[in-house]
Amino acid sequence: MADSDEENRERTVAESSEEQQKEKTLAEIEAFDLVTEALTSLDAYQRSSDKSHLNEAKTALNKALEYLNKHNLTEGNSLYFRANYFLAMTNYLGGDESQGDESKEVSKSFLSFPGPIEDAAFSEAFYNEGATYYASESYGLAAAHFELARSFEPARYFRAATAPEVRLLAGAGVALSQAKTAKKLSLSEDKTKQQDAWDQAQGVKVLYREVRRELFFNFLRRLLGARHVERALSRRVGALIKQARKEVIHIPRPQKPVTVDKEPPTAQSGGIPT
Amino acid sequence: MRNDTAKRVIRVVPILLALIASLTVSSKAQVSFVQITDPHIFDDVHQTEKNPSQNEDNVLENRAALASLIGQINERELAGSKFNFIAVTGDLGIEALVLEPSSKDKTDAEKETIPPALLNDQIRDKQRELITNSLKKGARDLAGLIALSRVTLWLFVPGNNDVLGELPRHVRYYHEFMKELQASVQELNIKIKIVDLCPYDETSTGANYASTSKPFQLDGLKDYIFIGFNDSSFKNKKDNLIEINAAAQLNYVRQVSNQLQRGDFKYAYIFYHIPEIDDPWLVTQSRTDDPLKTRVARADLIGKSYFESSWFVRNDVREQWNLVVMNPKVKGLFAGHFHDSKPQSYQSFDWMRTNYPGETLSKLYVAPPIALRMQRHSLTHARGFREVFLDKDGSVKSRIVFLNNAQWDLAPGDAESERQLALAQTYSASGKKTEAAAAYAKAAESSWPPTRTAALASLQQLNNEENRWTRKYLLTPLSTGWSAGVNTFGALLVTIALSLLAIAIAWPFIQIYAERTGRNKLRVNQIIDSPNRGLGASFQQLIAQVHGTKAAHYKKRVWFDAPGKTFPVLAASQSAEVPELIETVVPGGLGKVIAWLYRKTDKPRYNLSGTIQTVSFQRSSLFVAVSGGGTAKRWRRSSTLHDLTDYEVIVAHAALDFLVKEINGGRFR
Repeated sequence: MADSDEENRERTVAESSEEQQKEKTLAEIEAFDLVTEALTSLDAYQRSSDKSHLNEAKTALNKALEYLNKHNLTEGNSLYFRANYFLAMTNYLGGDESQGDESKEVSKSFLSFPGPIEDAAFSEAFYNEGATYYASESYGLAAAHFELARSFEPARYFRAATAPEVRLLAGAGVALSQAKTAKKLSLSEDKTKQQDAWDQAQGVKVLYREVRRELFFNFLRRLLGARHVERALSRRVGALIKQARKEVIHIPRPQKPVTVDKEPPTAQSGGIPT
Repeated sequence: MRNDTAKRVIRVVPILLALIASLTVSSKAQVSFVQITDPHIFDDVHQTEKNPSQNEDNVLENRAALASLIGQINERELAGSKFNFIAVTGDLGIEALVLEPSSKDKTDAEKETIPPALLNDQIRDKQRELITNSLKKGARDLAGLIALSRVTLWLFVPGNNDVLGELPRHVRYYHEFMKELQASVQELNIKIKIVDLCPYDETSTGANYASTSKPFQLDGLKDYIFIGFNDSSFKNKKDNLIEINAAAQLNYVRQVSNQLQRGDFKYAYIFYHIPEIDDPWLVTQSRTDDPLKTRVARADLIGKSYFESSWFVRNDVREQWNLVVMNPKVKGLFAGHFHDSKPQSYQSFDWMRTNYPGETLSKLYVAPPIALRMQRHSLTHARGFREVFLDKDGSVKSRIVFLNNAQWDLAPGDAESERQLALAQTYSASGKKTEAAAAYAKAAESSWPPTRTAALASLQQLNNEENRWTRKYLLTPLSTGWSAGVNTFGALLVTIALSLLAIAIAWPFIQIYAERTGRNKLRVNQIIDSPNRGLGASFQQLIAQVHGTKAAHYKKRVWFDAPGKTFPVLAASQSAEVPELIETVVPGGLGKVIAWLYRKTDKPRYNLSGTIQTVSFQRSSLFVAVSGGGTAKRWRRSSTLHDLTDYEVIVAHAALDFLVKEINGGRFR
């Protein structure tokens, strides 16, 4: 009799556990469907530029996150990351740059995401953060994140190599961010800052040539049918890099350079906020 | 329009004829043979009234005629005719071989008289030896001719000129000759068989030497029996012989009658030499003059109306014979003996004075002689042989082939049919099938069954050949194409061959291509549910819906942009490849063929299969398996029917997540 009770108890526990697992899985599926709904809303926004679609996406993503949080499906859950990632994007597209901090949270959650196979998302996430910083006119942080995105080399994982669109946009991002910084510095009376502006302007010009070269190779890849950045995006990059060059083209050279060996700031040289 | 009709007729006519042929074949001949008679190759030397000082010697002519006849029959065999045997109904002239040793140093007038010692068997051994040698020599001469024959069976009966003095007991020389002939032929051509239908009667005593009627049956054709009847003495050259020979003659008739009592055959055919009907020569004689005058005087003995008959026999002999003739089993009587030069004498019996029983006239067939005997100085000639054809029902069809001026001629109608048949064979051999068909059709109009059968059989064969698919669809179009100078069919054939070659070469590449294109494709096989409640089908639909959600979720999104934004945001990292769903159900009917072809060029790497089993009223088990690409995974969920849908959704997501992860190198789930 006691054995029977024990068996019944075990069966009840097992059934209960199975039921909980089922509920959890169904919640995740529900969240998945909500994220999908949000993505289709983003697609609709992309086609129409109607901000109501962004609101729909935002609602769906928040609801998805609510489900995931409720069922403790956060840590190491790619859907949770994706929901946050697209929420940050939705906020960005909606012009709510005040949510930049949330983007940082996204980046943090992404960085803490286990598994090296996600390397491809690293550079993209850095770029998106850079774009967010740029939108909030934090050009130094923007340049640093763009540089991170651009120079990220996932040498160990060829399949997750940095996407060409990231490299191009990040290159344009670094150039434009530095150009903005250089222009701001060039307005200063401080000779050192003027020299910095000049140096950064030279760096922008170098970047300009590099990105132009990359665009040319992208054009060749497109002709050859190899993997390439779509035309609209390459034009956008071309426009951004031209804008960067235009920003620095009139920056005068200081009469007396303070230093001659100072290099433009890079991710390795201390652009990353810690 | 007219051309179309003509073409249709041309197509239909051979088919109809082929049908007729198939019907005709059912009544085709079972036995076919040639009857020859009176070759007189040993004895045709006579003193003639016109020139008594110089004998008329037809022996060489007769031998040449016999050789020609064998050649003619060989030709017919080569042309497709088949003869089961050749029947020789007497009068080779063996009597002359017996007389020859005794004739030396005698005048022609003396030769006409048979030495009494010989006639009475009072001869010395030396003379007997000479006779034997003479018979051997004659047998070898005849064997030399027979050995040339393509017909391998020869049947013989004795004629009055094969029996010394036409006395029944002297048939012994005929027997001796036949034995020598059998031996000689065997030496020359082992295939040929000589059969004596009237061999020595082993039951008779030495004093009453006699022959017997030996029946002969062909292998595999036991319904037919061929009986020899020795009537070589029935002429009874002298009126006193009527009584002397009557017993022997009755015995010979009885021998035939006895054979007819056998039960192992259906139809009997009797071969003998002297026909019982009127002799054409006697018919021309006056009854007031000899020899008819003598006959009329013996009317009480021979019967009141048989004065012109070739038989000069006692009436009871004839009556016994008539009983034989009237036997329903007897279907044919084949005789010779006549040397009348009028062909009509052998073609009908209208010329006769005497009324014979209807059975006799309907069953009797008299062949014209081979020999020139008594026709050398005639205006007309009637020499030849008789072709006989026995139907399945035993009935006899026959025709005479006459020898005219060293040519073997048929009656005009038959000749034309034969000509058409020969023409058709020539056309056929030269590949002119249309002309051959027309000639065969013409030959098939022949009243002569073998010709008709041969023509129809050839026509049917021609029709079969024409309708054979290789000819219809390959040889004829090729031939037409070549002859037209534009070998369209050949070009088409070459094209097809090249296409097949190209496919064979390309096939491995197609397979590689198919595997590549099918790399990320998924086929959902039919989900089996038991018992069938449609759960499987609904689950398939659910999988398709979940697949749609996955596809929308992981759709490639590179960047999002917004008006007024300097930089777009990138989302490419969140795109993933979802297996392309190419089939949810394997199609049936024609779709199967298309699906098969499609699968040859598109091999989905992954397959999803599953079953839903309702094990009890309340519970169901769901089994799903995904396989392909070197991986496989199974899901099993057991639940109440109420929860089944939830588990279907869970399993569908799990299965597709598994594949998304698999395809994307472990990313996403």
